[in-house]
Parts: sequence; C-alpha cells; structure tokens
Amino acid sequence: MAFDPESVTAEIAGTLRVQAGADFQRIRQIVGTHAASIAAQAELLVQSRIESAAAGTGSVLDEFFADQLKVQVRHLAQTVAAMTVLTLEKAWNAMVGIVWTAMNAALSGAGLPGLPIPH
Amino acid sequence: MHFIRRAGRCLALPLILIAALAGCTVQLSPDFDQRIADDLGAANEQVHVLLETAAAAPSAAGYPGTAGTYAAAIGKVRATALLVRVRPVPQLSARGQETLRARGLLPPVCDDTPGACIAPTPGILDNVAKVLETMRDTHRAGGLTDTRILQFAALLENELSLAVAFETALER
Repeated sequence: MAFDPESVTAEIAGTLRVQAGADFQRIRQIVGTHAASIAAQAELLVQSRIESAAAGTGSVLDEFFADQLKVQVRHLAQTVAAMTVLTLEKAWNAMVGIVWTAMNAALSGAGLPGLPIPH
Repeated sequence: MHFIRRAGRCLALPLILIAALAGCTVQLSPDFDQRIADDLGAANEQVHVLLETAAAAPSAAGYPGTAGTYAAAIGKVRATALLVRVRPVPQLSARGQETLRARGLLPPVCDDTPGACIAPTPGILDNVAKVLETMRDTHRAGGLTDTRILQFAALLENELSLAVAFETALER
C-alpha cells in the first residue's frame, strides 16, 4: 500500500473537524453557562446591597461577593485556557497518529518494519 | 469585551506551546486521575448537603447544628485541593510556562496560581474553601438571609462545576 498524501490530509482534516469541533463546542457551552451564572450573581449582589442598606449592615460581605465576581471571571478564563491546551494536545496527537499509521502501512506494504511514534 | 480580551491573551499560552512541538506525540495537560475525580465528586456532594442543611437552619441559633457539616465540607475540599496540587504537571507545559513568564509573556490571568492555565483546579478549590469559611462565619455571627444563601450557592456551584468540567475532560 503506497503512501497517499491526499488521503492522509483528508483524514487529518476530517478527524480535526470532528474532535476539535466537539471540544470547542464544550468550551463554548461552559463559557455560556458560567457567563449566565455570573450575570445572575451580579443581579443578586444588587439585591443584597439594597437589603444591606435597608438593614444598615453587611457592607463587608457585599465587598466579598463583588470581589468573588472578579475571581470567577478569572477562573473561567483559566479553565478556558487549560481546556484549549488539552484540545490542542489531543488534536496534535491525533494528527501524528494518522501520519504514522499511514507511513507504517506503506512501509509494511514494501516489506519494511514500521517506525515507532516518537514521544 | 474585557473578558474576551482576557481569554484571547490566555490563548497565547497554548499557541506558543504548540508552536514549540516537533513531530511527536505530546502531553500538555495532566493525566486523568480517578481518585481526584472521585474526591472532587465527594466534595461536590458534601457542599450541596451543606447548602441544604444551612438553608434548613439559616439563623445564628441554627448554626451549632450545622457546624459539623461545615467542617466536613471544608475538610474534604481542602484535602482534595492538596491531592490535585501534588499531581505532576507535564514537563513540556511546565517549561513552556516558565519560558513565557521569564519573557514577561505569561498572561496575568494565568499567573495568580502556579500552573493555573494548565490545570485550574487547585486555585478553584482553594477559593471554594475560602467561600465556605466565609459562609460559616456569616452563619455563626448573625445567620444567613435567603439572598445570602442564594449568593453562596450560586458562587459555590459555579466554581465547583468549572473544576468538575476540567477534571472530567482530562479523561481522554
């Protein structure tokens, strides 16, 4: 079996479209869900500020929740970055696997031993 | 808009890491660890038990009956954070991160906790413990209003779900 660059390219493109597409869809869902939750918490913070003002208490705790909005945005950004690193790792390894499988099939067809995938 | 700019800067880290790769398989993210996943699930469950328990006895007078549940939840979250913190970080990611930091290219959002943009779970769990302690102190001092319970619940659920989403995604 000869090495066919066109079919290897097509397989890489197809695999990436499916795999990376699913991973980025998951990231989009996480961002959407958490952005909505952070917005809802901002609304709760307005409500608690009104209640604190009426009761003459709670300003320290309101500051805590305001600070926590920033912390949550930071943690969301960190999670998006970490999941993007993971997606790139999976995509890269899938590409290497496809190329090496095709090369080794061609080598095997020529009666030669395959090349190990480097790590 | 500010968040989008921040997220864009975060993407610099994975792109620079991937650019440094040669033609070989790589590991950029930590291994999936079933024990961490189990402990995180148990911590998540204990936090939700606590939220239900506190909501049923929100006054300061009701605090003593919930003190043990607070202690169990905080202890479980802190123990899980320790377990996650000692998990090895892949060498390539650790080197890439240090290179970026040395050149002043590491996005500030990635720099508050070591390895935060490779594995955000430790920083998230530290914050969950801090939120639980604040909730406990508030409950003990003067009780929890309905709004405060909603605020703590939304905050805790948001943070824990990020950690669960990331740790689950590691199973590849």
